[in-house]
Amino acid sequence: MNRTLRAFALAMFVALGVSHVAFAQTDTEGHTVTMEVAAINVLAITGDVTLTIDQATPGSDPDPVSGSASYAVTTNESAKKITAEIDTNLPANMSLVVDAAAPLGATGSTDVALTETASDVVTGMSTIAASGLALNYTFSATAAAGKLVSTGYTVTYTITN
Amino acid sequence: MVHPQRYKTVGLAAWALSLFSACVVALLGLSPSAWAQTPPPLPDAIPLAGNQVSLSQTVTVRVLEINRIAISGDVLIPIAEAEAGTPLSPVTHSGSTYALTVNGSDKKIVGSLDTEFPAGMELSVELTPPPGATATRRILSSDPVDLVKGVNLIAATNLGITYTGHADITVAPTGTAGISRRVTFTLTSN
Repeated sequence: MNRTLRAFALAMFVALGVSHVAFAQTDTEGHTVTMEVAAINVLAITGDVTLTIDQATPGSDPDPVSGSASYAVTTNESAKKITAEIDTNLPANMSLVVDAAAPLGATGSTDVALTETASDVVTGMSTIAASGLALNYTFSATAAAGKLVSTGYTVTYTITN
Repeated sequence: MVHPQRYKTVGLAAWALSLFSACVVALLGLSPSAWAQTPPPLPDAIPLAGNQVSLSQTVTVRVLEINRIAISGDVLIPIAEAEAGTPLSPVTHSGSTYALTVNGSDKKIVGSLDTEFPAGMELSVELTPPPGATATRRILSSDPVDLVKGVNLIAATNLGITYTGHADITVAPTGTAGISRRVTFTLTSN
């Protein structure tokens, strides 16, 4: 008798359980969504610059000339810096320097002479997205440098640690 | 010679056996006549000519309300690009689908996260509605939000789930493990 009652109770339990699932008023289903954020460091520079020295005060070296461009930067990392280098050193007695405006929270270096060796122009840059930041170039040449035909140099900026 | 005590025991056993038999009969609801070879006529039996008998029986059927939803696969949203000077580019993922069966009226699908994403991260979702329903793109949080409304009498599969992941510039790189959350969709009454 007890065995029969247990079997009956079990059958009712199973039947009720099945009907609860099959006829539920509400059903719920889920899955996992994973968001992955990569380290992102991007830099963009707007416009090329042409600097022509064609004036001088008598008795002095030729007048330096300036020109500007701008850059934009995005980084989601911390303690990054921007370095600058030129593909080929300028001839003797000529110099090309750059002042880079620093984004919020970072530090810009002034009058950084561009050479084939990378130099820091902005340091201490963290989690920032900024645009329209100035790049001011100044080209100087002494009288002893002589003339220079139009020559293009490539200045490379790099975001690094 | 029968021992008096043993005689008493045999008598008690006989009495218990008859009581047990009576109980069995009572429980089974059977009377001795139930064991007869010829059953009594059924109440709805209609006698016909000859030896034919027609019987009628009531068959009751019913369909209960059914609301079922299923979702395909897990989702990975890699945020890995940005335009210089702008925030990280949102990433849209449209690879997963859902299916549902509803035999009721005016149902809706709500969605929620098990826990919030860290500050600066945002996950929104838009479901392709089944015919006749309407859907809204919503940002997911631990509080359920309505995603699809007006679901009626439908069985549909391969309905799109489109996620958009967004991370502020302040969100540190997560590495390849990423940050996972469980998104739950619930099909319920409006």
